[in-house]
Amino acid sequence: MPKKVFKRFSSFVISFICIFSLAVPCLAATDNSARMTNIESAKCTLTFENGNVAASAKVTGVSGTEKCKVALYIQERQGSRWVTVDTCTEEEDRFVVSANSSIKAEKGTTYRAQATVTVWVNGTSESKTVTTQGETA
Amino acid sequence: MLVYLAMIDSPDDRHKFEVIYNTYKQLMYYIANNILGDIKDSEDVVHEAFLKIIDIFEKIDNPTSPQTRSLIVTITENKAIDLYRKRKKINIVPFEEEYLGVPEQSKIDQIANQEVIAKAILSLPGRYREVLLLKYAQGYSMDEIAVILSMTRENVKKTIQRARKKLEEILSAEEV
Amino acid sequence: MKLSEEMLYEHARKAEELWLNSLPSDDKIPEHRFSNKFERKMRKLIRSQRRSPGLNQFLSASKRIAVIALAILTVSFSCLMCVEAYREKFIEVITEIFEELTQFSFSSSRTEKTELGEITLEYLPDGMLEVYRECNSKTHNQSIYFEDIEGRRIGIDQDIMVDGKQSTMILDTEDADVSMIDFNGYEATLIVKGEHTILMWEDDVSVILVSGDFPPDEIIRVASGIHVSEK
Repeated sequence: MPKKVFKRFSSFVISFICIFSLAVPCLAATDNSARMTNIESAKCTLTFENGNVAASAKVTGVSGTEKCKVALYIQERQGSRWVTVDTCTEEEDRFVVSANSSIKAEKGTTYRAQATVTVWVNGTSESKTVTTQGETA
Repeated sequence: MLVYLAMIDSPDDRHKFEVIYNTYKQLMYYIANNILGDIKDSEDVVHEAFLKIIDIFEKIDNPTSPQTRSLIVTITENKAIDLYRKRKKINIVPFEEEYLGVPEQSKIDQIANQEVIAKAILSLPGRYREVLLLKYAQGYSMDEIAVILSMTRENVKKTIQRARKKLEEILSAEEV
Repeated sequence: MKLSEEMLYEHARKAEELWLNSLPSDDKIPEHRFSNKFERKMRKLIRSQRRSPGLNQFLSASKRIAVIALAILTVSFSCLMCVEAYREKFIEVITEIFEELTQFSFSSSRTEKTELGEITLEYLPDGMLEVYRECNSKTHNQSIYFEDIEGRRIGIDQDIMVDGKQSTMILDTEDADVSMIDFNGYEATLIVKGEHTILMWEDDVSVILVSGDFPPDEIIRVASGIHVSEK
Protein backbone atom coordinates (compact mmCIF):
# COMPACT_ATOMS: atom_id res chain seq x y z
CA MET A 1 0.00 0.00 0.00
CA PRO A 2 1.50 3.43 -0.89
CA LYS A 3 3.00 5.23 2.12
CA LYS A 4 0.66 8.22 1.83
CA VAL A 5 -2.46 6.04 1.66
CA PHE A 6 -1.28 3.94 4.59
CA LYS A 7 -0.63 7.09 6.69
CA ARG A 8 -4.10 8.43 5.96
CA PHE A 9 -5.69 5.05 6.63
CA SER A 10 -3.93 4.60 9.97
CA SER A 11 -4.85 8.19 11.00
CA PHE A 12 -8.47 7.41 10.17
CA VAL A 13 -8.42 4.11 12.11
CA ILE A 14 -6.94 5.74 15.21
CA SER A 15 -9.48 8.58 15.05
CA PHE A 16 -12.29 6.03 14.59
CA ILE A 17 -11.15 4.08 17.67
CA CYS A 18 -10.94 7.24 19.77
CA ILE A 19 -14.35 8.54 18.74
CA PHE A 20 -16.28 5.31 19.12
CA SER A 21 -14.49 4.27 22.31
CA LEU A 22 -15.68 7.50 23.88
CA ALA A 23 -19.17 6.68 22.70
CA VAL A 24 -19.21 3.46 24.76
CA PRO A 25 -19.28 5.00 28.26
CA CYS A 26 -21.84 7.52 27.04
CA LEU A 27 -24.06 4.72 25.81
CA ALA A 28 -23.43 2.69 28.94
CA ALA A 29 -24.47 5.61 31.10
CA THR A 30 -27.83 5.88 29.40
CA ASP A 31 -28.86 2.39 30.43
CA ASN A 32 -31.20 2.46 33.50
CA SER A 33 -30.42 6.15 33.59
CA ALA A 34 -33.48 7.53 35.39
CA ARG A 35 -32.70 8.64 38.95
CA MET A 36 -33.03 5.93 41.60
CA THR A 37 -34.73 7.69 44.49
CA ASN A 38 -37.41 5.26 45.65
CA ILE A 39 -35.61 1.98 45.14
CA GLU A 40 -32.98 1.03 47.71
CA SER A 41 -32.05 -2.27 46.10
CA ALA A 42 -33.42 -4.86 43.72
CA LYS A 43 -32.32 -8.38 42.96
CA CYS A 44 -33.13 -10.99 40.36
CA THR A 45 -32.00 -14.63 40.53
CA LEU A 46 -32.08 -17.65 38.23
CA THR A 47 -31.16 -21.18 39.18
CA PHE A 48 -31.68 -24.80 38.13
CA GLU A 49 -33.09 -27.33 40.57
CA ASN A 50 -34.28 -30.90 39.91
CA GLY A 51 -34.90 -30.36 36.23
CA ASN A 52 -36.62 -27.03 36.78
CA VAL A 53 -35.54 -23.47 36.18
CA ALA A 54 -36.47 -21.27 39.14
CA ALA A 55 -36.44 -17.49 39.29
CA SER A 56 -36.96 -15.02 42.08
CA ALA A 57 -36.86 -11.26 42.36
CA LYS A 58 -37.02 -8.87 45.26
CA VAL A 59 -37.24 -5.12 45.61
CA THR A 60 -36.62 -3.04 48.71
CA GLY A 61 -37.87 0.53 48.88
CA VAL A 62 -36.38 3.42 50.81
CA SER A 63 -37.78 4.77 54.06
CA GLY A 64 -41.34 5.92 53.57
CA THR A 65 -42.21 3.36 50.90
CA GLU A 66 -45.96 2.92 50.47
CA LYS A 67 -46.08 0.08 47.99
CA CYS A 68 -43.79 -2.25 46.03
CA LYS A 69 -44.38 -4.36 42.97
CA VAL A 70 -42.34 -7.01 41.18
CA ALA A 71 -43.13 -8.35 37.71
CA LEU A 72 -40.92 -11.41 37.16
CA TYR A 73 -40.29 -13.04 33.79
CA ILE A 74 -38.53 -16.28 32.94
CA GLN A 75 -37.22 -15.96 29.40
CA GLU A 76 -35.67 -18.49 27.05
CA ARG A 77 -33.34 -17.77 24.19
CA GLN A 78 -34.75 -18.42 20.73
CA GLY A 79 -32.16 -17.54 18.12
CA SER A 80 -31.11 -13.98 18.81
CA ARG A 81 -34.24 -13.11 20.78
CA TRP A 82 -35.30 -13.64 24.36
CA VAL A 83 -38.86 -14.90 24.65
CA THR A 84 -40.88 -14.80 27.89
CA VAL A 85 -42.10 -18.29 28.81
CA ASP A 86 -43.40 -17.61 32.30
CA THR A 87 -44.45 -14.57 34.28
CA CYS A 88 -45.40 -13.75 37.83
CA THR A 89 -46.39 -10.48 39.51
CA GLU A 90 -46.49 -9.59 43.20
CA GLU A 91 -47.54 -6.32 44.78
CA GLU A 92 -47.66 -5.39 48.46
CA ASP A 93 -48.29 -2.28 50.53
CA ARG A 94 -44.97 -2.43 52.29
CA PHE A 95 -41.26 -1.64 51.78
CA VAL A 96 -40.26 -5.06 50.41
CA VAL A 97 -41.83 -7.58 48.09
CA SER A 98 -40.57 -10.64 46.26
CA ALA A 99 -41.85 -12.84 43.45
CA ASN A 100 -40.99 -16.46 42.64
CA SER A 101 -41.52 -18.63 39.62
CA SER A 102 -40.47 -22.08 38.44
CA ILE A 103 -40.97 -24.06 35.21
CA LYS A 104 -39.63 -27.26 33.74
CA ALA A 105 -36.27 -26.67 32.07
CA GLU A 106 -35.51 -27.99 28.57
CA LYS A 107 -31.99 -29.33 28.46
CA GLY A 108 -29.75 -27.27 26.23
CA THR A 109 -32.01 -24.23 26.38
CA THR A 110 -30.59 -20.96 27.68
CA TYR A 111 -32.71 -19.11 30.22
CA ARG A 112 -32.54 -15.80 32.02
CA ALA A 113 -34.69 -14.02 34.59
CA GLN A 114 -35.85 -10.47 34.20
CA ALA A 115 -37.76 -8.38 36.74
CA THR A 116 -39.37 -4.99 36.53
CA VAL A 117 -39.56 -3.55 40.02
CA THR A 118 -41.66 -0.57 41.06
CA VAL A 119 -41.67 1.38 44.31
CA TRP A 120 -44.13 4.05 45.35
CA VAL A 121 -43.09 6.83 47.71
CA ASN A 122 -45.36 9.83 48.38
CA GLY A 123 -47.57 8.80 45.49
CA THR A 124 -44.67 8.81 43.01
CA SER A 125 -43.58 5.57 41.41
CA GLU A 126 -40.18 4.56 40.18
CA SER A 127 -39.37 1.50 38.09
CA LYS A 128 -36.19 -0.31 37.17
CA THR A 129 -35.44 -3.50 35.27
CA VAL A 130 -32.96 -6.08 36.52
CA THR A 131 -31.84 -8.93 34.29
CA THR A 132 -29.64 -11.91 35.03
CA GLN A 133 -27.03 -13.31 32.71
CA GLY A 134 -28.19 -16.26 30.65
CA GLU A 135 -27.60 -19.81 31.85
CA THR A 136 -28.00 -23.04 29.92
CA ALA A 137 -29.89 -25.98 31.39
CA MET B 1 23.12 10.71 16.68
CA LEU B 2 21.63 13.97 17.92
CA VAL B 3 25.09 15.29 18.88
CA TYR B 4 26.44 14.43 15.42
CA LEU B 5 23.56 16.20 13.75
CA ALA B 6 24.08 19.25 15.97
CA MET B 7 27.76 19.36 15.00
CA ILE B 8 27.20 19.34 11.26
CA ASP B 9 24.08 21.44 11.38
CA SER B 10 24.31 25.21 10.95
CA PRO B 11 21.81 28.05 10.50
CA ASP B 12 23.00 28.22 6.86
CA ASP B 13 22.01 24.61 6.27
CA ARG B 14 18.60 25.23 7.71
CA HIS B 15 18.00 28.11 5.36
CA LYS B 16 19.42 26.26 2.37
CA PHE B 17 16.08 24.65 1.83
CA GLU B 18 14.37 28.01 1.70
CA VAL B 19 16.89 29.20 -0.89
CA ILE B 20 16.29 26.10 -2.99
CA TYR B 21 12.55 26.62 -2.74
CA ASN B 22 12.68 30.24 -3.84
CA THR B 23 15.19 29.57 -6.62
CA TYR B 24 13.61 26.55 -8.26
CA LYS B 25 9.88 26.46 -7.57
CA GLN B 26 8.89 28.14 -10.82
CA LEU B 27 11.19 25.93 -12.90
CA MET B 28 9.91 22.83 -11.15
CA TYR B 29 6.32 23.82 -11.82
CA TYR B 30 7.16 24.52 -15.46
CA ILE B 31 8.70 21.04 -15.91
CA ALA B 32 5.85 19.29 -14.14
CA ASN B 33 3.20 21.17 -16.09
CA ASN B 34 4.90 20.37 -19.40
CA ILE B 35 4.40 16.69 -18.67
CA LEU B 36 1.08 16.71 -16.84
CA GLY B 37 -0.76 19.71 -18.25
CA ASP B 38 -2.72 20.15 -15.02
CA ILE B 39 -2.28 22.91 -12.40
CA LYS B 40 -3.23 20.89 -9.33
CA ASP B 41 -1.25 17.81 -10.35
CA SER B 42 1.77 19.96 -11.17
CA GLU B 43 1.66 21.65 -7.75
CA ASP B 44 1.36 18.24 -6.08
CA VAL B 45 4.42 17.08 -7.99
CA VAL B 46 6.40 20.16 -6.93
CA HIS B 47 5.50 19.47 -3.29
CA GLU B 48 6.44 15.80 -3.64
CA ALA B 49 9.74 16.81 -5.25
CA PHE B 50 10.55 19.07 -2.30
CA LEU B 51 9.87 16.18 0.07
CA LYS B 52 12.34 14.10 -1.92
CA ILE B 53 14.87 16.95 -1.82
CA ILE B 54 14.61 16.90 1.96
CA ASP B 55 15.32 13.17 1.89
CA ILE B 56 18.56 13.63 -0.04
CA PHE B 57 19.44 17.02 1.40
CA GLU B 58 22.95 16.01 2.36
CA LYS B 59 23.79 15.52 -1.34
CA ILE B 60 23.18 19.21 -2.05
CA ASP B 61 26.17 21.50 -1.43
CA ASN B 62 25.67 24.71 -3.32
CA PRO B 63 21.95 25.46 -3.82
CA THR B 64 22.57 27.41 -7.04
CA SER B 65 25.20 25.23 -8.77
CA PRO B 66 24.44 23.55 -12.13
CA GLN B 67 24.73 20.14 -10.42
CA THR B 68 22.01 21.10 -7.95
CA ARG B 69 19.86 22.50 -10.72
CA SER B 70 20.28 19.27 -12.67
CA LEU B 71 19.44 17.16 -9.63
CA ILE B 72 16.34 19.16 -8.76
CA VAL B 73 15.04 19.13 -12.31
CA THR B 74 15.68 15.37 -12.50
CA ILE B 75 13.74 14.77 -9.29
CA THR B 76 10.83 16.92 -10.48
CA GLU B 77 10.70 15.28 -13.88
CA ASN B 78 10.83 11.85 -12.27
CA LYS B 79 7.91 12.65 -9.96
CA ALA B 80 5.91 14.08 -12.85
CA ILE B 81 6.48 10.97 -14.98
CA ASP B 82 5.41 8.80 -12.02
CA LEU B 83 2.19 10.72 -11.65
CA TYR B 84 1.60 10.66 -15.38
CA ARG B 85 1.86 6.86 -15.33
CA LYS B 86 -0.65 6.65 -12.48
CA ARG B 87 -3.07 8.99 -14.26
CA LYS B 88 -2.64 7.11 -17.51
CA LYS B 89 -4.29 4.10 -15.90
CA ILE B 90 -7.46 6.13 -15.93
CA ASN B 91 -6.74 7.81 -19.30
CA ILE B 92 -6.28 11.45 -18.33
CA VAL B 93 -3.64 12.70 -20.78
CA PRO B 94 -3.03 11.00 -24.13
CA PHE B 95 0.75 11.34 -24.41
CA GLU B 96 3.45 9.03 -25.51
CA GLU B 97 5.00 8.04 -22.18
CA GLU B 98 8.22 6.90 -23.74
CA TYR B 99 9.12 10.45 -24.76
CA LEU B 100 8.13 12.36 -21.66
CA GLY B 101 10.70 14.97 -20.70
CA VAL B 102 12.50 14.98 -24.05
CA PRO B 103 13.45 18.49 -25.19
CA GLU B 104 11.80 19.84 -28.35
CA GLN B 105 13.28 18.44 -31.55
CA SER B 106 14.26 21.93 -32.72
CA LYS B 107 16.44 22.37 -29.66
CA ILE B 108 18.10 19.00 -30.25
CA ASP B 109 18.72 19.89 -33.91
CA GLN B 110 20.57 23.05 -32.85
CA ILE B 111 23.23 21.00 -31.08
CA ALA B 112 26.46 20.75 -33.09
CA ASN B 113 27.02 17.50 -34.92
CA GLN B 114 30.23 16.79 -33.02
CA GLU B 115 28.18 16.24 -29.97
CA VAL B 116 26.56 13.09 -31.40
CA ILE B 117 26.56 11.08 -28.24
CA ALA B 118 25.45 14.00 -26.09
CA LYS B 119 22.71 14.70 -28.62
CA ALA B 120 21.63 11.08 -28.54
CA ILE B 121 21.45 11.09 -24.75
CA LEU B 122 19.23 14.15 -24.95
CA SER B 123 16.80 12.45 -27.29
CA LEU B 124 16.34 9.49 -24.96
CA PRO B 125 13.05 9.12 -23.05
CA GLY B 126 13.12 11.10 -19.81
CA ARG B 127 13.51 8.10 -17.48
CA TYR B 128 16.49 6.75 -19.42
CA ARG B 129 18.21 10.12 -19.60
CA GLU B 130 17.75 10.64 -15.89
CA VAL B 131 19.54 7.46 -14.86
CA LEU B 132 22.39 7.95 -17.34
CA LEU B 133 23.04 11.54 -16.29
CA LEU B 134 22.79 10.76 -12.59
CA LYS B 135 25.32 7.96 -13.00
CA TYR B 136 27.70 9.29 -15.64
CA ALA B 137 27.41 13.06 -15.27
CA GLN B 138 26.76 13.43 -11.56
CA GLY B 139 28.63 10.30 -10.46
CA TYR B 140 25.96 8.83 -8.15
CA SER B 141 26.10 5.17 -7.25
CA MET B 142 23.28 2.74 -8.08
CA ASP B 143 22.09 2.88 -4.47
CA GLU B 144 22.08 6.66 -4.47
CA ILE B 145 20.19 6.78 -7.76
CA ALA B 146 17.67 4.32 -6.32
CA VAL B 147 16.99 6.73 -3.44
CA ILE B 148 16.81 9.82 -5.66
CA LEU B 149 14.42 8.23 -8.14
CA SER B 150 12.52 6.13 -5.57
CA MET B 151 13.37 2.93 -7.37
CA THR B 152 14.90 -0.35 -6.31
CA ARG B 153 18.58 -0.94 -6.99
CA GLU B 154 17.64 -3.74 -9.36
CA ASN B 155 15.32 -1.45 -11.33
CA VAL B 156 18.03 1.19 -11.60
CA LYS B 157 20.45 -1.40 -12.98
CA LYS B 158 17.88 -2.65 -15.54
CA THR B 159 16.95 0.90 -16.57
CA ILE B 160 20.59 1.80 -17.15
CA GLN B 161 21.02 -1.34 -19.29
CA ARG B 162 17.92 -0.47 -21.33
CA ALA B 163 19.04 3.16 -21.62
CA ARG B 164 22.42 2.14 -22.96
CA LYS B 165 20.81 -0.25 -25.41
CA LYS B 166 18.43 2.46 -26.62
CA LEU B 167 21.32 4.91 -26.92
CA GLU B 168 23.29 2.41 -29.02
CA GLU B 169 20.25 1.95 -31.29
CA ILE B 170 19.94 5.70 -31.76
CA LEU B 171 23.64 6.06 -32.50
CA SER B 172 23.59 3.10 -34.91
CA ALA B 173 20.68 4.68 -36.78
CA GLU B 174 22.65 7.96 -36.98
CA GLU B 175 25.61 6.15 -38.52
CA VAL B 176 23.46 4.79 -41.33
CA MET C 1 27.80 1.36 -32.10
CA LYS C 2 29.00 -0.13 -28.83
CA LEU C 3 29.30 2.31 -25.94
CA SER C 4 31.97 1.97 -23.31
CA GLU C 5 31.82 3.28 -19.74
CA GLU C 6 34.55 5.79 -20.58
CA MET C 7 32.57 7.16 -23.53
CA LEU C 8 29.51 7.64 -21.41
CA TYR C 9 31.44 9.38 -18.64
CA GLU C 10 33.07 11.59 -21.25
CA HIS C 11 29.88 12.68 -22.97
CA ALA C 12 27.34 12.59 -20.15
CA ARG C 13 28.48 15.88 -18.64
CA LYS C 14 28.12 17.58 -21.99
CA ALA C 15 24.69 16.04 -22.40
CA GLU C 16 23.70 17.37 -19.01
CA GLU C 17 24.94 20.83 -19.87
CA LEU C 18 23.04 20.79 -23.14
CA TRP C 19 19.94 19.49 -21.45
CA LEU C 20 19.98 22.20 -18.82
CA ASN C 21 20.53 24.79 -21.54
CA SER C 22 17.46 23.49 -23.35
CA LEU C 23 15.38 24.51 -20.36
CA PRO C 24 14.18 28.13 -20.28
CA SER C 25 16.21 30.52 -18.17
CA ASP C 26 14.67 31.79 -14.97
CA ASP C 27 13.60 35.08 -16.50
CA LYS C 28 11.89 33.29 -19.37
CA ILE C 29 9.85 30.90 -17.24
CA PRO C 30 6.23 32.08 -17.07
CA GLU C 31 5.46 32.96 -13.48
CA HIS C 32 2.89 30.67 -11.91
CA ARG C 33 0.79 31.91 -9.02
CA PHE C 34 0.70 28.96 -6.63
CA SER C 35 -2.54 28.10 -4.85
CA ASN C 36 -3.09 28.95 -1.15
CA LYS C 37 -3.12 25.24 -0.33
CA PHE C 38 0.33 24.77 -1.90
CA GLU C 39 1.72 27.85 -0.15
CA ARG C 40 0.44 26.58 3.19
CA LYS C 41 2.00 23.16 2.67
CA MET C 42 5.33 24.70 1.68
CA ARG C 43 5.34 27.18 4.58
CA LYS C 44 4.90 24.25 6.96
CA LEU C 45 7.71 22.38 5.23
CA ILE C 46 10.03 25.39 5.37
CA ARG C 47 9.24 25.91 9.06
CA SER C 48 10.11 22.31 9.80
CA GLN C 49 13.38 22.66 7.93
CA ARG C 50 14.25 25.77 9.93
CA ARG C 51 14.13 23.70 13.12
CA SER C 52 17.14 21.59 14.03
CA PRO C 53 16.92 17.96 12.87
CA GLY C 54 17.03 16.92 16.50
CA LEU C 55 14.01 19.05 17.33
CA ASN C 56 12.16 17.73 14.27
CA GLN C 57 12.84 14.15 15.31
CA PHE C 58 11.71 14.95 18.84
CA LEU C 59 8.48 16.61 17.63
CA SER C 60 7.77 13.79 15.21
CA ALA C 61 8.32 11.16 17.90
CA SER C 62 6.26 13.19 20.39
CA LYS C 63 3.35 13.41 17.95
CA ARG C 64 3.43 9.66 17.40
CA ILE C 65 3.64 8.96 21.13
CA ALA C 66 0.79 11.41 21.84
CA VAL C 67 -1.48 9.77 19.26
CA ILE C 68 -0.76 6.26 20.54
CA ALA C 69 -1.17 7.37 24.17
CA LEU C 70 -4.48 9.04 23.35
CA ALA C 71 -5.76 5.90 21.62
CA ILE C 72 -4.71 3.69 24.56
CA LEU C 73 -6.15 6.13 27.11
CA THR C 74 -9.48 6.36 25.31
CA VAL C 75 -9.89 2.61 24.89
CA SER C 76 -8.84 1.96 28.50
CA PHE C 77 -11.26 4.61 29.79
CA SER C 78 -14.18 3.12 27.88
CA CYS C 79 -13.35 -0.40 29.06
CA LEU C 80 -13.11 0.79 32.65
CA MET C 81 -16.44 2.57 32.42
CA CYS C 82 -18.14 -0.55 31.12
CA VAL C 83 -16.98 -3.44 33.16
CA GLU C 84 -14.78 -4.21 36.12
CA ALA C 85 -14.33 -7.89 36.83
CA TYR C 86 -13.33 -9.13 40.28
CA ARG C 87 -12.24 -12.69 40.64
CA GLU C 88 -13.12 -14.24 43.94
CA LYS C 89 -12.41 -17.74 45.17
CA PHE C 90 -15.60 -19.36 43.91
CA ILE C 91 -17.89 -16.43 43.28
CA GLU C 92 -17.39 -14.26 40.24
CA VAL C 93 -18.63 -10.70 40.39
CA ILE C 94 -19.06 -8.39 37.44
CA THR C 95 -19.58 -4.81 38.52
CA GLU C 96 -21.08 -2.28 36.15
CA ILE C 97 -21.02 1.29 37.35
CA PHE C 98 -23.68 3.60 35.98
CA GLU C 99 -24.37 7.19 36.91
CA GLU C 100 -27.33 6.49 39.20
CA LEU C 101 -26.72 2.92 40.29
CA THR C 102 -24.29 0.05 40.35
CA GLN C 103 -25.19 -3.37 39.03
CA PHE C 104 -23.55 -6.51 40.42
CA SER C 105 -23.81 -9.81 38.57
CA PHE C 106 -22.87 -12.91 40.56
CA SER C 107 -22.12 -16.40 39.36
CA SER C 108 -20.19 -19.33 40.75
CA SER C 109 -18.26 -22.41 39.70
CA ARG C 110 -18.93 -24.13 43.01
CA THR C 111 -20.60 -27.48 42.55
CA GLU C 112 -21.19 -28.48 46.20
CA LYS C 113 -24.79 -28.21 47.24
CA THR C 114 -25.34 -26.04 50.28
CA GLU C 115 -28.71 -25.61 51.89
CA LEU C 116 -29.76 -22.38 53.53
CA GLY C 117 -28.67 -22.26 57.14
CA GLU C 118 -30.10 -20.28 60.02
CA ILE C 119 -29.00 -16.65 60.38
CA THR C 120 -28.24 -15.56 63.93
CA LEU C 121 -27.14 -12.10 65.01
CA GLU C 122 -24.91 -11.28 67.94
CA TYR C 123 -25.72 -7.59 67.82
CA LEU C 124 -28.60 -5.33 66.78
CA PRO C 125 -29.17 -1.66 67.73
CA ASP C 126 -31.63 -1.12 70.57
CA GLY C 127 -35.31 -1.31 69.74
CA MET C 128 -34.97 -3.39 66.55
CA LEU C 129 -37.83 -5.83 65.93
CA GLU C 130 -38.16 -8.36 63.10
CA VAL C 131 -40.73 -7.18 60.55
CA TYR C 132 -40.11 -9.45 57.54
CA ARG C 133 -38.49 -12.77 56.80
CA GLU C 134 -38.31 -14.77 53.61
CA CYS C 135 -36.59 -18.03 52.84
CA ASN C 136 -36.51 -19.50 49.29
CA SER C 137 -35.08 -23.02 49.20
CA LYS C 138 -35.40 -23.23 45.41
CA THR C 139 -33.28 -20.16 44.65
CA HIS C 140 -31.23 -20.45 47.86
CA ASN C 141 -31.72 -16.96 49.22
CA GLN C 142 -33.11 -15.59 52.40
CA SER C 143 -33.65 -12.17 53.91
CA ILE C 144 -34.63 -10.73 57.27
CA TYR C 145 -35.64 -7.16 58.06
CA PHE C 146 -35.80 -5.37 61.38
CA GLU C 147 -37.31 -2.02 62.19
CA ASP C 148 -37.44 0.20 65.25
CA ILE C 149 -40.11 2.51 66.53
CA GLU C 150 -38.63 5.42 64.64
CA GLY C 151 -38.91 3.54 61.35
CA ARG C 152 -35.19 2.91 61.04
CA ARG C 153 -34.57 -0.37 59.30
CA ILE C 154 -31.86 -3.03 59.14
CA GLY C 155 -31.89 -5.73 56.49
CA ILE C 156 -29.82 -8.87 56.02
CA ASP C 157 -29.81 -10.73 52.73
CA GLN C 158 -27.98 -13.97 51.96
CA ASP C 159 -27.68 -15.52 48.50
CA ILE C 160 -25.95 -18.93 48.26
CA MET C 161 -24.13 -19.19 44.95
CA VAL C 162 -23.65 -22.48 43.11
CA ASP C 163 -22.72 -23.48 39.61
CA GLY C 164 -25.59 -22.75 37.24
CA LYS C 165 -27.04 -19.92 39.31
CA GLN C 166 -27.09 -16.34 38.13
CA SER C 167 -27.90 -13.42 40.40
CA THR C 168 -28.07 -9.73 39.51
CA MET C 169 -28.49 -6.92 41.98
CA ILE C 170 -28.78 -3.15 41.61
CA LEU C 171 -27.89 -0.78 44.42
CA ASP C 172 -28.48 2.96 44.63
CA THR C 173 -24.99 4.49 44.45
CA GLU C 174 -25.90 7.91 43.04
CA ASP C 175 -24.19 10.62 45.08
CA ALA C 176 -23.07 7.88 47.44
CA ASP C 177 -19.69 7.35 48.98
CA VAL C 178 -18.56 3.96 47.65
CA SER C 179 -15.44 2.28 48.93
CA MET C 180 -13.86 -1.15 49.27
CA ILE C 181 -12.94 -2.20 52.80
CA ASP C 182 -11.47 -5.24 54.41
CA PHE C 183 -14.19 -7.03 56.35
CA ASN C 184 -13.18 -10.13 58.30
CA GLY C 185 -10.59 -10.98 55.65
CA TYR C 186 -12.98 -10.39 52.77
CA GLU C 187 -13.04 -7.48 50.38
CA ALA C 188 -16.37 -5.73 51.03
CA THR C 189 -18.21 -2.94 49.26
CA LEU C 190 -19.31 -0.13 51.56
CA ILE C 191 -21.93 2.29 50.25
CA VAL C 192 -22.83 5.29 52.37
CA LYS C 193 -25.54 7.67 51.25
CA GLY C 194 -26.74 10.15 53.82
CA GLU C 195 -27.89 8.16 56.81
CA HIS C 196 -28.18 4.91 54.89
CA THR C 197 -25.38 2.32 54.74
CA ILE C 198 -24.94 -0.88 52.74
CA LEU C 199 -22.21 -3.41 53.35
CA MET C 200 -21.85 -6.26 50.85
CA TRP C 201 -19.29 -9.04 50.65
CA GLU C 202 -18.83 -12.53 49.24
CA ASP C 203 -17.49 -15.39 51.29
CA ASP C 204 -16.75 -18.84 49.86
CA VAL C 205 -20.38 -19.79 49.66
CA SER C 206 -22.67 -16.80 49.44
CA VAL C 207 -23.18 -13.11 48.83
CA ILE C 208 -24.23 -11.33 52.01
CA LEU C 209 -25.67 -7.85 52.18
CA VAL C 210 -26.38 -5.87 55.33
CA SER C 211 -28.16 -2.56 54.92
CA GLY C 212 -29.66 -0.07 57.31
CA ASP C 213 -30.56 3.48 58.25
CA PHE C 214 -27.46 3.72 60.43
CA PRO C 215 -23.89 5.02 60.12
CA PRO C 216 -21.20 2.69 58.72
CA ASP C 217 -19.66 1.66 62.03
CA GLU C 218 -23.04 0.51 63.33
CA ILE C 219 -23.77 -1.55 60.22
CA ILE C 220 -20.28 -3.05 60.32
CA ARG C 221 -20.88 -3.98 63.96
CA VAL C 222 -24.15 -5.72 63.03
CA ALA C 223 -22.44 -7.49 60.11
CA SER C 224 -19.57 -8.67 62.29
CA GLY C 225 -22.04 -10.41 64.57
CA ILE C 226 -23.83 -12.36 61.82
CA HIS C 227 -23.46 -16.13 61.89
CA VAL C 228 -24.93 -18.46 59.33
CA SER C 229 -25.10 -22.07 60.28
CA GLU C 230 -24.45 -24.38 57.33
CA LYS C 231 -26.68 -27.35 56.60
